[in-house]
Amino acid sequence: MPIRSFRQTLPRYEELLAELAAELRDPQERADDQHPLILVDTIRQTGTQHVYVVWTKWPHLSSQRERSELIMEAYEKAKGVQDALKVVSAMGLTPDEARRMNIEL
Amino acid sequence: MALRSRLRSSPETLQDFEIAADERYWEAMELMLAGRKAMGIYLMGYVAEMRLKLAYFRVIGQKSTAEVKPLLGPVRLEAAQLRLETENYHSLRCWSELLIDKRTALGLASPSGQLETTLRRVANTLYDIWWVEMRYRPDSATEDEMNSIFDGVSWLDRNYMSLWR
Repeated sequence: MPIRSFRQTLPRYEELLAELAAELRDPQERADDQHPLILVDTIRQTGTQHVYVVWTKWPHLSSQRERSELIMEAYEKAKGVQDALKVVSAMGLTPDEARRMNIEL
Repeated sequence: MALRSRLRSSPETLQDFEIAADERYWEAMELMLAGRKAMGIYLMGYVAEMRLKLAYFRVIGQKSTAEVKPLLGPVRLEAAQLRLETENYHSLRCWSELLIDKRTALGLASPSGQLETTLRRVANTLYDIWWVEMRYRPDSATEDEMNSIFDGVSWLDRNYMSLWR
């Protein structure tokens, strides 16, 4: 039995960014292990948006701040800066975290 | 459960900032009264940071139960638009300029502009004295600098409600 060095491949920040931007540009019918579920709550009075991205791919990005920055970068890439500036809150969650927050998936 | 685990078990909210800002203000004042200039300034600077962040987030309509970290991504984009350096979200100048910009955009700026002018002056004074990296340096603060920080943060504390209502 050959012995090889252990290597775990987790998606890098840039890969996640590209995938999320692609998803925002061209949303898929349903979320699965590959595709994130993107929930947008638009506040009617102000036009501002709260964005939640539920995804299996980012448990290793444990910092909520990093996920928030990634979502905003993807948003800007996909929809342009003017649309991105409407977002006032960007929260990245795993499916388990979303369920704990009673977010309907 | 250890303190770190207890703190990490629930996300930071704006309400946490409100309470922490009050607590740190009095603790910083005690340090200053005991002549501990560097630590007094260091802690007082965080009070300014929390007050400015709170005012900004309240101006954009966030409730006190809102989690803080998901609000930071959008802030980075806003700051980039205004060519402001966030200094890892610690820059007092950045937060005060974001607050002034948002108050103006939402039509909340004071008619005379006096509040914004004073806010900018106070924040710039605080920015020139307080730096988050100062914790790694020996104490070289002067009494005047300590007093300036105290005066500036006390102004923010007194005017906090007017900054976002």
